[in-house]
Amino acid sequence: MAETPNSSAFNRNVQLLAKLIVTETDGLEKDSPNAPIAVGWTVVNRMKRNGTTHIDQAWHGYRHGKNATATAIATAKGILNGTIPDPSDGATHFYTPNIMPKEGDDTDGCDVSGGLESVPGVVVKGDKIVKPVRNYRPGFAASFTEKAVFGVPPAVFKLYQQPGTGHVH
Amino acid sequence: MSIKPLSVGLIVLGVMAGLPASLSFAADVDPYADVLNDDPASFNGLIGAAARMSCTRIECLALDDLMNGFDTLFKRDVPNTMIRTEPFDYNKFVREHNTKFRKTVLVHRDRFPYYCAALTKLATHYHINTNGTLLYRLIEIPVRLDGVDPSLHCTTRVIAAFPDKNDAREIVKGAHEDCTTTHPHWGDCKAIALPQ
Repeated sequence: MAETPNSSAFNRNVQLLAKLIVTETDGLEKDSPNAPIAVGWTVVNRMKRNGTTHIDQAWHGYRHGKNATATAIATAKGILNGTIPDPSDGATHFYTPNIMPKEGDDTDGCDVSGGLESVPGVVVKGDKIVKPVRNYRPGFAASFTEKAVFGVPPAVFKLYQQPGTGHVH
Repeated sequence: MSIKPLSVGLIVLGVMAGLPASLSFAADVDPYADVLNDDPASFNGLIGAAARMSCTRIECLALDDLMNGFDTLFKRDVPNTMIRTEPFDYNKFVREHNTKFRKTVLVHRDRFPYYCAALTKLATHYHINTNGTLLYRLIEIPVRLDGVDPSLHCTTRVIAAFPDKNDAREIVKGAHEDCTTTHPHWGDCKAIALPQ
């Protein structure tokens, strides 16, 4: 990023990105270290495309209310100083199929305009069995380019890149 | 799995977990036992176990609560913000999930020993490939149970049940940091400490 490592602006970005990572992926680093890294990189990829060097000008679409942990701060610092490479290859969007409304569910408050999909690991508890179930997907999943990330189960996060190199909404 | 060893295993499990003998798990074959005795900890495995059981016994009701509790906490912690249509009130969203967890898990004090037995066995089965969705909350839940009933000492038992491996130690260390940094209201975060 354009900010000089260890400058006050850089350190502020580190703190903000760490808060965002904790808030959006709390706990997942224990299972899948690449999940919070990939989510963090979606912010940086947006910053690059939107021509900003400030995290807080690119975090629309994210939540960031939780406190940063030391692990998240280390992750954020590595992302921002470039020592942790982007495992998402330019992803700008993500969602969690496990948490999306399932077929037959109330979809109020969620973007489900991408229609239904089947994702390995997304299941529901039925009568005496666990069965796969289709989940809805957001509109961007229907038109953006999917980016598979090693070690991130698709039921937990699916990542996408908005086509082109222009501004990301 | 044959019935007899399983029956013994269940009773031993119940007694080891601190349950009165009269509360030890019933001596018939069911997936709950398979999960607790044989399988590595797996979120979907446990959901499957709860789905396949006859939910009239307290241990089944407890496992069902617990799986719903895990699911609720996972949903709370991964807000999936990008798919929310505005306005998305995040604070309300978190409150709703915490309330749901309280009302489905923390209110059933008679089931606490069963929750703790299952949590302890899950920690015993910890493996480096254990599903982290399950693992992270595996430490949060006992802290919150102890927050309601300090005499339970569930956190200490769950932490002690983790295998003595570096990766398990790292998880406990991370959970302690997360509890003290982000969730001190859960309960006694100091209990998330490995035996010296």
